[in-house]
Amino acid sequence: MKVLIYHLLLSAAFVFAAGSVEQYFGLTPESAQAKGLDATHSAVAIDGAKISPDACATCHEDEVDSYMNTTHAHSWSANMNCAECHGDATKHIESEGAAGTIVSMKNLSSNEASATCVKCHEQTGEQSHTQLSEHFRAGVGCTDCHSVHPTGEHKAEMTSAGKSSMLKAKQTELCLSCHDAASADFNKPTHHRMKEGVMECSSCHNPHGTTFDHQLRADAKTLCTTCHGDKKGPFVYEHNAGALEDCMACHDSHGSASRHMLKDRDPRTLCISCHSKEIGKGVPHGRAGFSLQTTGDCTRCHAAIHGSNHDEFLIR
Amino acid sequence: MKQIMLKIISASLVVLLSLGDSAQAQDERPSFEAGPYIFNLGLMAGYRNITTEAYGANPSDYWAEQRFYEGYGNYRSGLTLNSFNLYGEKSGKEGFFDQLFVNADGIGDPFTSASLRMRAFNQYDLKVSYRNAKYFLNRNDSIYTGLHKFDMTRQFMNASLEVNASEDIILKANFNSTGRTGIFTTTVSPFVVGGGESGTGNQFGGYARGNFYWMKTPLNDKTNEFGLAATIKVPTTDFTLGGGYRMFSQDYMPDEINDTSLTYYPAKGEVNWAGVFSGFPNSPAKATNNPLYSFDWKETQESTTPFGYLEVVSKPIKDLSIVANVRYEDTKMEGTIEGNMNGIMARTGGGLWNLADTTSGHFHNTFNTLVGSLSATGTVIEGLNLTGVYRYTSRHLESEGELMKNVGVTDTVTSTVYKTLFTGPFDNMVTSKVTQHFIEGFVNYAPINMLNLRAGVQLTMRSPEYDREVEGEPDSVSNTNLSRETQGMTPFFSFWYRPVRQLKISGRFSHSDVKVYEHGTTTEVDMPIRITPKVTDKYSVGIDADPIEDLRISAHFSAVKGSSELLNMIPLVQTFNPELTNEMQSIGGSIHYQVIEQVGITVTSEYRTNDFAIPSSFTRGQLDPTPLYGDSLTISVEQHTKDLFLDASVTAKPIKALELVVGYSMIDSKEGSYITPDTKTGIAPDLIRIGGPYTWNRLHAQASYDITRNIGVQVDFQLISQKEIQEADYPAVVNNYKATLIRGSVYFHL
Repeated sequence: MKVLIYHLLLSAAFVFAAGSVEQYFGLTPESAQAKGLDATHSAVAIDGAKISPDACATCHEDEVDSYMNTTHAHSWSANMNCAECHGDATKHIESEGAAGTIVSMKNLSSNEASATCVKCHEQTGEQSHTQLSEHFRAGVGCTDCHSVHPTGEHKAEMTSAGKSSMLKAKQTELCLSCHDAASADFNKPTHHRMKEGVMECSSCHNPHGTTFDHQLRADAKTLCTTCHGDKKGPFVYEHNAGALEDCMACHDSHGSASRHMLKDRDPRTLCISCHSKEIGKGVPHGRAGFSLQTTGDCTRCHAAIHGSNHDEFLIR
Repeated sequence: MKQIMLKIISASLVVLLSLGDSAQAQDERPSFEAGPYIFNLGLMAGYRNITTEAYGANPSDYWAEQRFYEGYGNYRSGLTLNSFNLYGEKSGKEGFFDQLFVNADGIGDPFTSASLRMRAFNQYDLKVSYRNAKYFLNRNDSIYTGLHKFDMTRQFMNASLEVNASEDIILKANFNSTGRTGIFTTTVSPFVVGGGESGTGNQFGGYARGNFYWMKTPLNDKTNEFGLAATIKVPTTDFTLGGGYRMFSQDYMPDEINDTSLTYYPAKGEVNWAGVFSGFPNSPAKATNNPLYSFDWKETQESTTPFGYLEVVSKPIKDLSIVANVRYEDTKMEGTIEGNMNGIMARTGGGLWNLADTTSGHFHNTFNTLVGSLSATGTVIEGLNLTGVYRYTSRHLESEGELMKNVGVTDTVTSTVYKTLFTGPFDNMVTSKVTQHFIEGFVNYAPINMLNLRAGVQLTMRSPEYDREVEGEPDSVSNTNLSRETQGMTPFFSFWYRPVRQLKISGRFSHSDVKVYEHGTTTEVDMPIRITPKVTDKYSVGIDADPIEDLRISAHFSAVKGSSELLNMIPLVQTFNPELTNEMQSIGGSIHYQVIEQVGITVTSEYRTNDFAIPSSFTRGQLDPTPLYGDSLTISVEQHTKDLFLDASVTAKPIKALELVVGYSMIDSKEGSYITPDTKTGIAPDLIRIGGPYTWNRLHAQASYDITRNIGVQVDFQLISQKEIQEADYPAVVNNYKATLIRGSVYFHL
């Protein structure tokens, strides 16, 4: 703890005394150029603004080797080179790799690093809402999940499906490494088979952002019924909970201690939450007209709980 | 002999470890060449043994049996192909793919997946994946839930081919399929021929509940979808135009099961829940009188959905990004119902009647959805961004159904027709139009690199309009309730602050206020779905730090506090407290510490509380001039849970060829749902709990050892236990089990 406090104090003092965060965070391509680190200052023959991976490999062999196995190396952009992300390398070359002479993603804040990525990626559908994403909002950037050149990991790692998206790990492991609560939910007795590999987080969510809550790819009912087609309908009589809210009115999406991933361990409690007087007609019902269902699940009789085509009480 | 064995084992270990040391020198996995490609192949297979012990008051119930555990834990005993991974890439310039991925997992397990991806950069990208998931349950054939068992497999198939027609045009074709096969075993609702539809009142229903019967129903729903899309890139803008066709089909054909394997039936003269439920504490004898003599029921449903969409992503100027999309779907569903059944029902005043019921019907549903959105983000000055989002959703449902019923009863002794209860059609019609608007605007301000501030507001508006007619009569109560309009406003604020690279502090607050009105008026009413509170505050703060090298710490706290004033809960026999509450608090964190290069520790934990309550009281018997039980009851519809989750693991690599992982996970869930129990002499107690507080523990260990560059061995061990704590007077549903797993595997790299 002492070490932590010491380090924090030291770091804070350094930042504020220096009055410049760039010494700590490194440089963005823009700020690097603003400091004069552009090609016009190059005193060497290599054009640092368009430096090829082959030239960089002279010193950074591992990084370039792993980079060459990624989509980036084969990008549709004919101009894609190391300087696209790392900025003009002229000073870096001149100083033979001195620290601070080139943009290093490790030294950028997440959003700064992301700004480099979205220069090209914000115009594609999957990443077009990056600015809206909860991740971006919370300062989680592209390089927190993706590795442009996974140095140190062997090429065999590429055989895992996740690596084809340059993810640092398999998608589910990666997401759950931060989302502890979701990780706990997926351990519960009834859960979506995420950890078992039947689904991935991106089956429902777009980590890069959408216009829907929780970064869902569509409204919850549309998403759920993509797989649960038998609940999609349309029905002559819908269950109003699903019609007015969505499936999440009754179900937990990740996992639950209840059957069928219901929100409540006693399904009657769940039903009675809405179906008491007024909203439901004559419900809850039970003995002698008394307002409590005394035995069994409501769905024992209301079996067509998601919707029925011939019974308004969703009996079948 | 013992010494010889020890020597053999020791010698083997020495050989293995020395081979393993030689494997340390291998920096790269082996590969092989085939034609113009280089491949890596990884294959792991092994033998797994599972032992399961179920215990508790009712070990045959719910989870407590091996088959469910296999599904839950994705395991089974026997030989398994754990994984198959083939990766190939072009070694030179020749060849029709740049990269090839072939993966398969869990072959023979309840969850199996296989995928193929093949691509040539800037030319094509082919992806095919198949997954199946088996789900099974076999619990006590109790009347409580109506669901006895299921055994089903859900299949998923996705395939897509993306082709770069030119540098600026990408074409994509895809096929998606999902569906289920299997069987459900359930009780059949006694109301199938009871109540208003058949004109039999509760007579058949009451008898059937006391002598309920079982059905098995094949599952066979299937959805197939084909799609085509083209993306055209012009300077500053991408256009994607797509469309497709989706088909759904399902038959519902339950078959009656005689009670050969099902044992739960009420005994004569004893209290049974079914009898109590229908107002008869002592049920009639079960005898052999399954209430159905014959049953023949078939429903069919088929739908088709053409759909189309357009998405535009544009960056007209450097500091402005615009995304717009619109999607339209038009679903048409046709269905039929045909049924014939013969059974028995209780006769008023004693005795039984034969019942004959024929049903036929058809329905036609159309459902149109239109979803469109527009979002724009622009930079006003450096560090200051403005974003606006608008989304419009419209759903229009028109459903029409006709049901023909012919119900008659005959005396069981004389077989004479007593009377025809009902014959005639029921015409049902539902139309609904739901429009929703979502508007969000926020400003993002980063005055300095280390600080990010965001503030904005979300507005939601929903205006449903329902018109339900049952047998030609408008359902005024349902129409009014379902047509409630909601308007919500949620201002929010969030920030993150990173004074040094090793430290980040973040936080978020939002306040949501939803107003609900009777359609077309300014009269406020309750939420249509009461679980969702009207007023909700959400808070969260978090801290992430890397105080020293090799140590990462994060901690977070979040809370939700929601409440609703219950405006129109009418005190009649019920008295509700005026407020519904829904609260959650969560505190959690994680630590990762790389103690030394070879040893790392990770600990993650969360403690979460959830509280939901609609406190209410009931006075029993007020409805009747002569109260049946003559007492009162206070009932609190509540759910309180306190969940502690812990996950800890240690990884060690004492030598390069050997990797060890030991971990422990647990969930401790306390409390649960409550409807105040009520036990009265002579009648059944109000059974309040299905499920309950529980603890779940999992200990796992894994050791992997590279014997040579190509071959390794792996041993897995798991011990899992779940213990439900019996607090309620409902012993039939305590579900406890223990399970151990031992697996030995061999892996190859070629």
